[in-house]
Amino acid sequence: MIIKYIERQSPLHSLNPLSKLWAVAAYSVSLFLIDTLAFQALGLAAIVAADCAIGSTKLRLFLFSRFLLGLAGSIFIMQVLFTSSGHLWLTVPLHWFRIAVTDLGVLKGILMALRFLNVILLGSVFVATTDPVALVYSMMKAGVPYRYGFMVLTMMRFIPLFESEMTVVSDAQKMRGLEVDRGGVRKLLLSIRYTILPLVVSALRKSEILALSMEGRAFGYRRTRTFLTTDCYSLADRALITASIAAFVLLLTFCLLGWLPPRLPN
Amino acid sequence: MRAFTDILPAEKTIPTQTLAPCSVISFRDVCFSFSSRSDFALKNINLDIFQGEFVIITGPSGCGKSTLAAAMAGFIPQGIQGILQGEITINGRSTKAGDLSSLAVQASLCQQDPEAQLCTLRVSDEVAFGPENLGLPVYEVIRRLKEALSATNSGHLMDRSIFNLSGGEKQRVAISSMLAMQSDVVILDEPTSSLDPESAQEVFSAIQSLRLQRNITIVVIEHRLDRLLKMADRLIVMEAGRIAMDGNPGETYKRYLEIMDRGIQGRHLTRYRKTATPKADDEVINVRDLQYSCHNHKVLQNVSFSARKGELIGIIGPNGSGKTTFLNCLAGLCHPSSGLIRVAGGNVAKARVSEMARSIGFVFQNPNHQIFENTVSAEVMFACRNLKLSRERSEYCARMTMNEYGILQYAQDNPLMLSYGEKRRLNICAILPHNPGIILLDEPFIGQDISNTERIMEDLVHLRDSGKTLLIVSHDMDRVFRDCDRIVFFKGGSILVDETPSKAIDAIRNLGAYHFLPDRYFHDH
Repeated sequence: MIIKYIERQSPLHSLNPLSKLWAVAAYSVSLFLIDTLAFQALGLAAIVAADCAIGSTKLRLFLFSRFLLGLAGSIFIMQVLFTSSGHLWLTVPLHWFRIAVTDLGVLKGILMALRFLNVILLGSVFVATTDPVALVYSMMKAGVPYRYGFMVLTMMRFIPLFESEMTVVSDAQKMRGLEVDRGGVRKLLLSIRYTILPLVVSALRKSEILALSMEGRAFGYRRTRTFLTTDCYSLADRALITASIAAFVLLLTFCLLGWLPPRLPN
Repeated sequence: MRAFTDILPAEKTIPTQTLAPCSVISFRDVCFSFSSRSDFALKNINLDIFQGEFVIITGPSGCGKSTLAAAMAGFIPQGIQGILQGEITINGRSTKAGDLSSLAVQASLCQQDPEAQLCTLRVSDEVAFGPENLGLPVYEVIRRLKEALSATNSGHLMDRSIFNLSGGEKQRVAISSMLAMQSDVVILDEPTSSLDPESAQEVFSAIQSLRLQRNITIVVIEHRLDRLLKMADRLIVMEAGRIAMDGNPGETYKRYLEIMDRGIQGRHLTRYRKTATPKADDEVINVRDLQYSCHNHKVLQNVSFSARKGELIGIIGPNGSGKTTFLNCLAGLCHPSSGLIRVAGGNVAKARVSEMARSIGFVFQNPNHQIFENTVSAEVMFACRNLKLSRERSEYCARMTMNEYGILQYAQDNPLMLSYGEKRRLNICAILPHNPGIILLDEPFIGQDISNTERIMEDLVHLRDSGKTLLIVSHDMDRVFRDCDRIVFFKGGSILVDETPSKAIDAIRNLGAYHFLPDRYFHDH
């Protein structure tokens, strides 16, 4: 399931992309520095609440998808299997070896699974509520060189185009009798070879046209450029940025002073 | 066909606008070659274009029109590398001086493919892109944005996503984005090549309103001249890198057509003889109540259609009316929501697409999307190999077909090195050796000059005469109405007209879709 930007009105949507980026960065750092079950669980509850507040069925389906929960479950099992330190709870005898399940292994497993869910869901909420174009423009306005910003924008512009061209090329192959799904690996490799040539030709042609079109409209004429719209930072945005920076500074300070809860042993 | 330069007297007609005050673009003894080993794409060009002039440049494919346009805008020598001799000036300033970005305020070039030159994702960002790069104050950027969009009647598109625009709308946005640069010269390279007649007319109207609003110089490169000619001050015809004619649009066009006719005549007309009228029991395509939806959008609705052996059917209609999807459904590339399609006696829904290839040949819109091999001969035999026909038979059929289509001399050449017209002929040639009975063609005339278009049409008529059934999607109303046995008019995903050409003219007229009539009927309205 692919999570994409969902266009709608919500408090999270109305935040400036950069302030959300600050918050995501600060929260991600805290997820990796604070090794307590309570923090990870509370964090996850907050993100799930945010997910539900957006009101997107797609996001909710993703949240409870077998794929996501299965991955979190496998992370839990791996930790349990490979952590041998801690108090032994039980052993599972197998034919060649035995598995020792320890309290630390279970704790680490739960922590890792929660952290994984936190990171993935945080990312999905950010992606679902942030217009990628607005994000790139905000970054350029904030000082990222506009040449790099437009590199990302043109990529976003052309990837769907190349996708649709790939479909046409594949259709053209089928219409000339090339059966990809019946000829095994050899046919598949042939199809890839036959697909790459037309796509490369098209990509080269398009990039040449695009470069001329951009330069022909004075792209690179000046070191800085104007932007049609200016970024607005609401009170909520300012509060979020301040809180994120404060959290970030506090975390680093606590970390340096050794005041954070102790990390679990390996 | 003989070159114009062989037929014409050496002297040029004097342009009607030579009394205009000053030359905006000037070429002096200009020759250009893309590399030291290739021929000159521009040969000894001497040309002045004056302030406020509306100039059309036309000529056969590959004659150097787009190269001339690139040179006018300073793309040569600033963006496109090659050997340039002579002097090109824009407003008295040599294009060799400075860089392309600094020339952008002097001349703007809107290239052929609007899709490839739009670099942002929103219309407002796209049109504001140039003024933003110039570092203009925001209020000036907004002023130019609104002015440029209103000049092309596209103000309502301002907040739209680029992905949701139709072909005509994209072209108008591309033109607006050039206008926002407010340069003295706007050059449009085949602005209507992929547009339906209605959208093409919208673009022409935008150009006309530009002319009326501003005294800028407009240069348009175009093959479809009928609807544009009355707006122009001057027509330039190019041939083999040279300016062959330059003068009053009406007279020059008449001479151009006479020469083209002389070149075309004798080659094709002898073959324009139709075989016996198809019989009802020769039905090879039968479509009943076809419905097709994509992303909850109904693309085809209640389409019923039949075609018989030896019919040449023209499919026309606005961009997005479902014409290409209809062809895709016939070939089994799209799976209908409901309805029945039988092709060559078999149910398409139950057949594999690669099996359909035995009875259907499909020529797609873009020639480059259907070239897979490294040599022309391997390309022509591609389908035979996949369909496991005997090597001897494939080679024999491929050779015969290449010979018939005049590309045998390129058999060992790389297909990508062929000209645009030759590539299109190769596309048609490559679907024939395994002898499919039905041929579907999606916009085969795009980007082709008059001569190439006539040649392709001649080939198609010949195929029809040999008993094949052909369905052509095209925006070239004149040719479709002239040569097809039936006209099928699509609108909003449904077939509104399915008649012989003479009856179709009345039916389409009754629907008020005058843009989809041949030019002489369109001009009556």
